[in-house]
Amino acid sequence: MPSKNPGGKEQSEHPWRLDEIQELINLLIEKEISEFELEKNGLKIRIKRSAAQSGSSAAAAQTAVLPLVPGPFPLPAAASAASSPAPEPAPLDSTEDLYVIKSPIVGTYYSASSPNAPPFVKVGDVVQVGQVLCIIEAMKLMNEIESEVAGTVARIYVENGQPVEYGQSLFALRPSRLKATGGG
Amino acid sequence: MFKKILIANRGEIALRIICACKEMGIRTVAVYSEADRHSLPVRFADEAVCIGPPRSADSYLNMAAIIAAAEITDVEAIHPGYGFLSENAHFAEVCEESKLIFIGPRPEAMRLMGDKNKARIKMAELGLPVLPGSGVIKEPREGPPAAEKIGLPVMVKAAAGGGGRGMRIVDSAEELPRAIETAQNEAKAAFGVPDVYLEKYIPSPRHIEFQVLADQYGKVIHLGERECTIQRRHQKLVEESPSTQVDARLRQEIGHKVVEAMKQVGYTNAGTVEFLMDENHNLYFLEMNTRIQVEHPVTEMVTGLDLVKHQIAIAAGEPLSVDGETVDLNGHAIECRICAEDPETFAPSAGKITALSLPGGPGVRVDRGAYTESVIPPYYDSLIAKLIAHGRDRDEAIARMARALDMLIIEGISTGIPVHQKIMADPDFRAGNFDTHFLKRFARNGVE
Repeated sequence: MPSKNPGGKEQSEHPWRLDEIQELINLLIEKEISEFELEKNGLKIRIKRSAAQSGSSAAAAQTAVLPLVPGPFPLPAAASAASSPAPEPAPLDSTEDLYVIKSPIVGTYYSASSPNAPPFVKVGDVVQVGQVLCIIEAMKLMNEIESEVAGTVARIYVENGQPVEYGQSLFALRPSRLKATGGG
Repeated sequence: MFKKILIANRGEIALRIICACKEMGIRTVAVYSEADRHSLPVRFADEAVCIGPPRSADSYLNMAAIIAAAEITDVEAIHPGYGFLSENAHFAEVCEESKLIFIGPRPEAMRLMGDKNKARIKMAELGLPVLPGSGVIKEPREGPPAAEKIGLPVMVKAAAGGGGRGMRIVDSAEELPRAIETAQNEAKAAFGVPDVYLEKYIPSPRHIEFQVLADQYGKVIHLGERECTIQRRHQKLVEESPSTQVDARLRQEIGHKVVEAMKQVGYTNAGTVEFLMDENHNLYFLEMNTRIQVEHPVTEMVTGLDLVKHQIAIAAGEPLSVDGETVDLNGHAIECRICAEDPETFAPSAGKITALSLPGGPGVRVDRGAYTESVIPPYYDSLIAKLIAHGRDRDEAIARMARALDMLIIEGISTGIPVHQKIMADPDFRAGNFDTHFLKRFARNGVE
């Protein structure tokens, strides 16, 4: 509970609880808010949802929930040009055994080979090892990003034209079972 | 003035640049490796972009990643800090081609000074005193005749080296050919270029360097000297300004020569011209560093100028508004580099800082990237913080530094604080009586 000191001034020391944060996130998703930022009581939250390609928008939401302890804990600044710097995909993925393809470089993500072309992949597509999933452009060079596993595209985390950083999640694939993917 | 700058560095210098930008109303972009995700520069920059895994080659030395980050964040300029790409002329050119302003000198000046032998020759032409030396030695057998002209003992140095790397002392003509051959192989491996040259070796030198600032309109000033004689294996530990060995006359004489030389080479932005001083107070040009230096705070404390802000202003096309060649130096400043290391063996000590309490009080400044719960990563240098003390005179500066060292708490890792405390208490140091071998007295068995 917020405490008031004897001087009558309200202290902003009410620490956020996890269930409060979850409730906030659920509310934002329910109302389909795409971008939200709040700084209060020692916690800064910035939530930016990428376009959901399939069903569960909760999973597509990239949330940057920052540490509850205020003060010297460093809070990574959200890159306003790039999407939220969440290095891990939503927890849902780990329980579903999805394989996340992360960007190996900094650049701009393109879902197709040219503006008028159809996207390389969409959710539900079955892809093979080495199949081109997208292009990341950096310094005028178009880098083709290939799939590291064979499987089905379960989620796409980024939007066409979006800046991406090293290690940013791009795709979640549901690996095909019993498929040999080569020696290494 | 720039609206947004990208800082292509990490740790304390990245934070230092962010300080200047914040004060100038310039937005900042920090680029970081995965090891620095929770660092202070990332926290305090307006935007941050992860550019690679921890290894420097894949991150802070990765030009493509840095330029790509600059593109997606729409910055106008890049500040390279020190180390990493700060003296890489090719990177400066890549910035230019990508329509980004590199906050530093022009690539040509960086190339000239990056070749230590060419720099020596050029500075000699322009009137700076240089150590007697040879040109590039191609065949080991050219060594002995060249050494005879110079006078033994000599130092064999890599032309593409610097920062104390790639050097060996040779006392006799017989050892010379083999030493040259070995040095050539090492130079090739370490710097990509096997070129070596010979230089007169001064047994008990002091290290004196002059800070310069030059705008894009031909105005050059010097900001006096720093003395950086207290070193271990050619790595600076303690720096101070002014030097007890440089009087006003010498400062004016060498400062003027440095300014004139910089005008002749068309130098711009910040730079440091380094000299060795022999027992007779003669200065000899050693090399030039075409970037901001680690020890720049001591000059800031005695001149009252913000060197990083000046770097940014110069790069943005602003003229230097200082009359004359130099400014007054007020009082005395000392800097101690606090590194993560064992105070006895000096081996690096990585790990997590469990408690950090910084001293304050009058005349004390701390530049650092570390914080409580931070981890000193093994991938980069071991500098935790720079402790700087300023006083009305050298005695007060030393007293302030000693007091600040006592009140600096760093727990969880070993640091060099005890060594610095010994230095401040040492009678020879306090008397200004030392050369580059000073620290041997604190090493075990006299060996560093």
